[in-house]
Amino acid sequence: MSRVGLEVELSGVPLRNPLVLASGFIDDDPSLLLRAWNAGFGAITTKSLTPKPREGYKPPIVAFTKAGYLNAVGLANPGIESLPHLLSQLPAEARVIVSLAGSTPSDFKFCVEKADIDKVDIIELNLSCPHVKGMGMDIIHDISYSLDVIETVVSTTSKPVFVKLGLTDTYLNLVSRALDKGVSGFTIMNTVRAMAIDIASLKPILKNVFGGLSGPAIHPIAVRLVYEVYSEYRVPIIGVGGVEDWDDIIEFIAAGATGVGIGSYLFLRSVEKVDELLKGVESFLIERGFKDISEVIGIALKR
Amino acid sequence: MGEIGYRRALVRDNIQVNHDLYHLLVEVDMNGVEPGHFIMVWIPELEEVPMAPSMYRDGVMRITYKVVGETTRYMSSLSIGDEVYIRGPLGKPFDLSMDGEYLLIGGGVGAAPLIFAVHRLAEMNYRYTYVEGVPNKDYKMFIDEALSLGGEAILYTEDGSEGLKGLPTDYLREHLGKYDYILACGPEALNKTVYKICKDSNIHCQISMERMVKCGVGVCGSCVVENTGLLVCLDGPVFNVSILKEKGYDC
Repeated sequence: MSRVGLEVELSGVPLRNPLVLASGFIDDDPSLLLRAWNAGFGAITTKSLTPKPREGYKPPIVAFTKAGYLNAVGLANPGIESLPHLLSQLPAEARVIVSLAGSTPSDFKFCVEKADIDKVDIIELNLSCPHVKGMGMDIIHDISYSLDVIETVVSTTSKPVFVKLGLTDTYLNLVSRALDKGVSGFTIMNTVRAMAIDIASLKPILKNVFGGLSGPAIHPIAVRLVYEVYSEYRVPIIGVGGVEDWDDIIEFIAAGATGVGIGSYLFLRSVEKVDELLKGVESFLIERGFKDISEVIGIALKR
Repeated sequence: MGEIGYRRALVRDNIQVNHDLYHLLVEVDMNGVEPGHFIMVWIPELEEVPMAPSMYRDGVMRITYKVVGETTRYMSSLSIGDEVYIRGPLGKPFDLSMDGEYLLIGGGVGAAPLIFAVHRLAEMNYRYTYVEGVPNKDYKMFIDEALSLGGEAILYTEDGSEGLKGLPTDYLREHLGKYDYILACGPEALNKTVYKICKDSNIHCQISMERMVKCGVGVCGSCVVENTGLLVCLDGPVFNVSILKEKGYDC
């Protein structure tokens, strides 16, 4: 089989392939981050880390619907101070995206100072978690507040800063103004606020009632957002949302994504299954005569 | 979707075994549940908790649980006709496919999946010795049941109030060579001791591990066996000692 180039460059950071472990998945222990890296991801995103540890919500924290998955983990995380420990087993060549969450610009400043270490390649600001009050979505709905956070972070670190967007009506406005503030790229998109009711008990399933919807239901929406942002701004994008097979990855890349986040694919699958996605992508590229995956980035926009 | 959606489980009985241990018998259709699998028991408006069934036959599941928090305290008040909601079976069960002589080492509520395994072994006419460790005679759980199924059953109490004085792992240490297969499930201390005894021998040993299972489907990471990259909910809860050793479960 001929060899095809899977390497991409994301804001100057070389990745061995476009697949990124999305934030919040199996990243509670240094050994899990190492396992994900060894499984073949091009980069690993940490849980969204906050200034202080958070216990998160009580179970049920997940629910299953016909169209996708709901989660309400509640930003459970061991706190930004644990970052060096979390990354301690990763080899030097591993690519790391640190996701940060907080309520105020000073929360983010505190976190980004701690995240500004050698092993970290990219800082991702989670301004779009849909189920924690005072964090995430509550921030991104307020554009000027979001810009304060972004400005604080960008002026505190020299690393590339990505903003993780959620589904809002004003996201293109935010994208343009965030770029003016020096943001390098965007992670598109977060889960969508949703809920599920169990009809056996006739009660909401999630302990938190509301959670974030991921999986197949949100994939076409994420593709649309990636396409819109890429066509307007030609910036580095990590497309995330509902990747269930390798063709969804191709779709994101064709829409303009350089990296593709993998999350709910891992429900009831071991992380090593990411290899099947990579093989599928590789076979497609060979079959269609591409030499390098970069040729596909944004190809759907070309006429 | 079997492991995904909730099933309504009707309470048939809720029996107090000792001061903080209960058997909840529920009617629930869950063919395919095997010894070592776990289920998530959901009490709407309280929480969802992971548990290992201690028996399942003909649509009736026995869930042996210890009262440790708000949700299990509520469970202890359930009565006939009440409902709970269950998803599962989840995880990987014990491998009972090998013919030979089995030793089962259980401690505390960890003995629950082992007595389920005893039932299966008895059905297959495999030889087994069931060893249960408890603080004192008032905590005895499944000794009589294991004996009634035709195998050997040995009780260890920490205070010597009944059976042998000591820990069930004492038995393992003294009789390791006598058995072909070891199954263990208990508190972390018991599991660690079993691991240490078995890791350098060639004996086939499976340990059911306990960690904080939250999502139950391999994504949240809260049930990691520290340092090994292994998830109790997806890779386990039953692990071969050889895997634990390979992944560096070094206590």
